[in-house]
Amino acid sequence: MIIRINELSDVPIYMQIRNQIVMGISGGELAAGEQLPTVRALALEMGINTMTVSKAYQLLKTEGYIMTDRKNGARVRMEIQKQATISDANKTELRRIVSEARISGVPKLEIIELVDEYYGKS
Amino acid sequence: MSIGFSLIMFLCIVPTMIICYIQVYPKNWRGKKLVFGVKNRKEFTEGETAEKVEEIVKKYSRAALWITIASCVISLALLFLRGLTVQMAIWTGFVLLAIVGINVPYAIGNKEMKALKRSLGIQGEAGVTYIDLTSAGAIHALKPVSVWIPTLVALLPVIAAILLDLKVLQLSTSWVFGTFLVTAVTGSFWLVGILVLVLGFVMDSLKNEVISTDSTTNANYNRAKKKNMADMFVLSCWVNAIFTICCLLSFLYLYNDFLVMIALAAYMALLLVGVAVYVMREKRIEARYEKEMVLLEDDDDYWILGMLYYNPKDHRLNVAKRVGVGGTINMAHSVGKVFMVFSGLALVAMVVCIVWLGMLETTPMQLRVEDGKLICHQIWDEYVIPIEEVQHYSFCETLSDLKLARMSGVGMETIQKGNYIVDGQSGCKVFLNRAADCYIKIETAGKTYYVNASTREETWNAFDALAKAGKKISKKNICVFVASML
Repeated sequence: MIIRINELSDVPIYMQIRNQIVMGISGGELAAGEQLPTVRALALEMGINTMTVSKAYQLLKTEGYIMTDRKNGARVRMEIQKQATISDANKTELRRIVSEARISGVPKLEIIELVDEYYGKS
Repeated sequence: MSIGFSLIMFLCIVPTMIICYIQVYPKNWRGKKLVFGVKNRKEFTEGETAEKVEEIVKKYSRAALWITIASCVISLALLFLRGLTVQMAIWTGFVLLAIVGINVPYAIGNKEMKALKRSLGIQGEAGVTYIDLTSAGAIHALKPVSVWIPTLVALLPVIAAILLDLKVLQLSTSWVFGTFLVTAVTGSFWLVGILVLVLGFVMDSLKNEVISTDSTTNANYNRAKKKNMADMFVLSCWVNAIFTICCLLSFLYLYNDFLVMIALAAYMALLLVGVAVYVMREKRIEARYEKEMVLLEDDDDYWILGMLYYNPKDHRLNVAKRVGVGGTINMAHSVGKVFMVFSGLALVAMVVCIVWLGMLETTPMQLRVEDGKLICHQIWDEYVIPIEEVQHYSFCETLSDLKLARMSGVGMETIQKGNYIVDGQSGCKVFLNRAADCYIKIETAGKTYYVNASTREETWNAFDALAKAGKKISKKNICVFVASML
């Protein structure tokens, strides 16, 4: 799976890593149980601080997407807990996206089609 | 000896220039990842823009070709230089000029390509990095055992040399053993091997390139590239090990200056063959993956003149070079900055050394007696020997029977100064010009001096002055000298 990091983006790098790994899991590019690179290897590859990668992994672990242990490093969880709800933070984010689309004249149908596409792809 | 030095330099610089030309100025720019260090893109291959790029590439490739040809011709002419110091000075200057020269068309081409990119309104993706999670940190081709074995093999002659110098092993009666000269030579080559080993591991852990959205393609591409590089490092380690063994054997059985030079030339030639094979294989790999290269990072703006990497946001110290063989350093990294300062100092030191050697070779060596002291002078007073402390002194006819091994000081082809082991006696003070081919041996309480001036006559005059200063002269040696003068 390829991830794209933009150092000049407003989104912090650890959040970019976290978001793209979540998208990878959702899109099937990262399979259940798949090994992730070690914190050190990924930091070295990206040319960033190990603390940044560690923070991303810690967040993914807290959210239940990955599991880490000393022996095997980080892996995608075999079974990710399905809460079947959208978090408040994501609701706010979705609302922002929909609002921006509405202001700029994007038809509702187009947004629904996009959601269908992304959901289906996932 | 001196032709040997020129020959080694010739064997190094000519293939290096040719390899540089082939690597930096490829014929078919359309299929390459980069054009003069600027990311190649679809826009460059369309209509008028393609013509402009073609023009830039042709113009600067032609200039580089002329520089390469000129460098090879000049190298050939430099083979006829005489005098080691002159050779060293001119070769050093020429090598620096040639290396800078071959890169000048590339740097100008890079500036023009960046200008063209701006004129097309192409925004670079500075700060964007692609990482393949599947292969991040997982692809290594250099097996530690494959470089440790030759390094350990190269250690054996070093250990043998130490034992021979300590007289624990007695395989030769040569005067060289006991002077630690053999230990120094074999040890130096062993340290070169260690450097190659460390460099090999550094290069093997370079960031994997992401060229495609397919992880398997990325993994295969990086594996092929790293395997190629690993092979070159393994070859270098073995060549180094074999040469270290040959060094010891030549000191043991067949010591000859000319043979040493030939062996050194063969050593350099083998290493360059290794680099040439690496370059050919690298080109084949690039050609194989040419069509799959769809995802390339555009960090053109972080490459000054397309060759110097400066990215303050990148925490890595070493990165793969844009063009050429191996890696380079991030000059924005704190260690990179220190490295650049040291590189600058090394360049200055090189120039200072050459000037210093030139001064040594052109400044006459003088012996004079003043205020009851014998003064050995070149540039400044090297030794001041109070005559009342001299216990014995003699004039000797020829230098050829002296066995000299340097402990510290100057050891040039024509001049030897400093602390030497002379005929097995350590700690002797030497101030000799080989051209004079005679010397005065002076013994004081605890010190032995071997000195002469620039010519035989000046040396004899100093000896005469020393005699007049009231000391006994070895009559036997005077007779020998007078007989030879007649």
